Amino acid sequence: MRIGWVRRVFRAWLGLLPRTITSRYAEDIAADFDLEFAERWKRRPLDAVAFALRAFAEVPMEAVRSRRGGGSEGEGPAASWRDDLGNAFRSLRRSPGWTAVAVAILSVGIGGTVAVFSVLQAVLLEPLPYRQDAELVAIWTHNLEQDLPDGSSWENARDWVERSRTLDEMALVFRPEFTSATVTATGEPERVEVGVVGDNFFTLLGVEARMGRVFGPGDAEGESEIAVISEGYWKDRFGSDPDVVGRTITIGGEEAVIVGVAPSNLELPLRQTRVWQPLNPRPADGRDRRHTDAYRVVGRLAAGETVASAQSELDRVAAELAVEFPDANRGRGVRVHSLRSEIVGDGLPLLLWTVLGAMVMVLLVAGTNVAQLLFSRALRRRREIAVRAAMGASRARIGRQLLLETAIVGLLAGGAGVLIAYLGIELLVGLVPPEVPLASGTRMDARALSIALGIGVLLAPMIGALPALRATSARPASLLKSASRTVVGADRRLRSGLVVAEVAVAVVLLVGAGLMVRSALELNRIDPGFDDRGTLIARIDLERRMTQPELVGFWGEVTDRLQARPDVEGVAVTGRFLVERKPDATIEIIGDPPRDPSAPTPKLSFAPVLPGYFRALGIPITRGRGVLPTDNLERLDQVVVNQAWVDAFARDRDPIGLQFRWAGDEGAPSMTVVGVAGDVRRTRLDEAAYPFMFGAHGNHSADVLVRTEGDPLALAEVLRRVMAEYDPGSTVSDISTVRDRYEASMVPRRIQAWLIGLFAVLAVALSAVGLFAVMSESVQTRRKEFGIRTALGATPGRLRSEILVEAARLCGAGLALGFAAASSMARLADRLVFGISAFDPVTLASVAGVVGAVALLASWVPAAIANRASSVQSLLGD
Amino acid sequence: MSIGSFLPLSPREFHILVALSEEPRNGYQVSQRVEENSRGAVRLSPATQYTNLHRLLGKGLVEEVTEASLSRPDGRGQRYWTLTGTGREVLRAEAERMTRDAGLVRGLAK
Repeated sequence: MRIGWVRRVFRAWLGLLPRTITSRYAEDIAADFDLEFAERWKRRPLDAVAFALRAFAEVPMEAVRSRRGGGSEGEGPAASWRDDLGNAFRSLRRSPGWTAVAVAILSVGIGGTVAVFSVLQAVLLEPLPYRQDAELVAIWTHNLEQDLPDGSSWENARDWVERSRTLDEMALVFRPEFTSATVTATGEPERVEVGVVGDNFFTLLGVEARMGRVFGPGDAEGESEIAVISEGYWKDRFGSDPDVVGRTITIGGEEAVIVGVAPSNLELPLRQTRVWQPLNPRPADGRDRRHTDAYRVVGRLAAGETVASAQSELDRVAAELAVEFPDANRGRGVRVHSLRSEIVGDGLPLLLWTVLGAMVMVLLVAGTNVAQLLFSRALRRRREIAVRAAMGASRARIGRQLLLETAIVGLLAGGAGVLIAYLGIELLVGLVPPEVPLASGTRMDARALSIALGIGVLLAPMIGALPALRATSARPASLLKSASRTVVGADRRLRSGLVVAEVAVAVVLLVGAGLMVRSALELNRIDPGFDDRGTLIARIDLERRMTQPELVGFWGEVTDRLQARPDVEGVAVTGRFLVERKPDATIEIIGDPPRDPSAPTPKLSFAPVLPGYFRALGIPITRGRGVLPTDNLERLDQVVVNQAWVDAFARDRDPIGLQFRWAGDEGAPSMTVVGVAGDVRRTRLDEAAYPFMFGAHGNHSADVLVRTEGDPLALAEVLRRVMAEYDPGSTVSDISTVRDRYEASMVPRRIQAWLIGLFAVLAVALSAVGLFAVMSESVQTRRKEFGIRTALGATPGRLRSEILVEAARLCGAGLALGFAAASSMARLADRLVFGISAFDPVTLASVAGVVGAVALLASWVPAAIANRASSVQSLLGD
Repeated sequence: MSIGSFLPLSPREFHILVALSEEPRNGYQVSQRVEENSRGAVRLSPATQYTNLHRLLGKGLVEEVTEASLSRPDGRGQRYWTLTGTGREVLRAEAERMTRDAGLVRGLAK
């Protein structure tokens, strides 16, 4: 990071201090600042920023202090400084309206920026609540061909650690998507996320028990079942019973003794994990299960190692393992991520930084607007300034007072910004869906506070410098002569330039907002592959244990019972309907030549369904038939596949009758394709369907989908009643509609569109105000000219159109600049949009339309005033 | 001027004198030491630091020593600070005053 400019600004800033100090120590102060800033930057950049803000803020405070206290400083400077401060306050008090508007505009920018930054800081910058969190990594097996992450085997994970220097330790976690269980604590049985974790899991993370103990060596091999529960679970289900350790809960039918309570900030392996049980990955039968993918791996880097160094070493280890165990590891790589990125996910950082970027743009527009206001104010005070200059006040003195006024405005805006930031944080945290990790930790802290005040104090002089410089530049004589009549040409140009800049930034934001809103609309138009309106979805976990035919019969009865109701159109039973995990099974088409061992096969998912699944959901069967009640239940031999499967495996052949088997097992029985169904999106709405195969199979844990004409959620009670009747120990959970499930995965996109839309509206409104101010003053100062011209016969229409053309020129320049800036960000936009191009013509045209309309609106009133300028009035004016 | 007229010291002045009582230090070392001694409670930004040192210099409690051997690349000597005799006496008097005052409230600090 080049911090030279920070130092230069700081060095200039020191000019505020009394000369007695600066003449001796300016270099030392600047050098110390430099040294300390650099030191802190190396350790923690945020700290350095906080330090710099403090150092900057201390300078004017110190200046006031030393001048107030020091009689030895001489009466002159001390008095004048006090005078200036007093004058600045008085002057602002004389125009409370102006002050309020300036403070309000700036505080919205500051408060919003701090609010967004606070959320970003909580999610992306605060340390995770684990020991040495920067050393923690998540390690995934990687399917190289499909470029998809995959679970790992104990054997491979063990070898990664043993063969690498960069990894110190690893802990296994059974893939949490498989480990929710029916748990009974004190009341009704309920479905709970259970973390099945290696016995070193807690010690690896450095998490200590809130009460009792966590797992330790040997716990996994213990005779009896034990469990650690979350603090939340302890509160909800045990009323924070201090003697909870030693009590038992039933997990999936097995009794387990509670040995401890984990702290509430442990959100692994899932945010919702409420119970942990120890895991013994060593296969009891000693068989090698290197090809399996049952585990997620959390690792700790050796001291001084980075994710990148671990990645490059593990690349080598993975290549070795692929050679030594080709059957299990062909086409398998390794990916190392920081644990934080694992928890936070891919999309969130981009989203947060984009929103922060947008907010900073609003702050810039707000700052520019306040600069406009300062120009107007200076213009109005031209005569006052001229008089003071004529009476001998130095240019520096006048400038200092103007700057002091701005600094006070900045400080007030910073204070008001703190309040807005506080409200903004509440709003943002309320908006963020509970699935977004770590966001709930967002709070208004001292750092956010100092940043708000710091921005105010720092921004104000930057904003104020130009107007103050302009206001004090002209010679007093000419100022007095021309006071309030004409605007200096350079002034006009400067201010016009500011308007152009404001419009340009607003255009960038509008383009961004437009693209996101359009993407959100595109998302609404996605066809998930079936009619998902009016469909209830619920997770059901049976208590009764049944054989496969019994299960299918059981679900058949439940389905018939529900379907008998007049308001039910169809009932479908399947495994988990919307899966977060990517496909992971591999197959071989029988008769195909052996595959190139270095080229892994595409992967697919298997979905167990009950007969009638496709009909109930209205999924078209394009070839062959669906799943029938007569299909073999003991052995999966006839399957229906989706179109994505056909595209991946059948290539140009007729898929019907194609025979295949699970890969890597010569003896495995074959399966035959008997039908092709339409693609249904079973991960997220914005992700295309993966290859799927469907076969008749009943599960003890299943998703039930019920289609109805009426309100789907009204059927939830019916479903509960029916299930209680057929299996009283069963649980019905995660009740929702399919539409809501899809929507939930789209929430971050929508929030982003919503926020950036809001920012764009703010920016447009602010630029409209800026344009209005410039045009009004332009008209005001040219009244005499207009009067003369009207007297000489110029038509009112001509004057009006002249003003409108001037406004159009500014707005056009802003548009052009804005579009240029927006197109330079097209690569970023490409990652944010969905279903449209970053140069979406509809968006660009709408933006131009909106900006044009707003500009017309903002300049219409000034133009009308110009129009009305009657010759007599204007000529007599002044 | 009597020693008593300097008392009480402001927390910043006190901590600066404490830092300098151990050994001569330059500005950066003073601020680091003060933050350390006060466990972060007293932080001196560079501007505050030098105005305070300047004030203490004016009162005759500290003095500058220029260490030519530690000159910077720009050729200027590194400015070091040390306590004067008066400074040391004032610090001692302040410490006594604080101990005495602390004795008044000993019963409370449990």
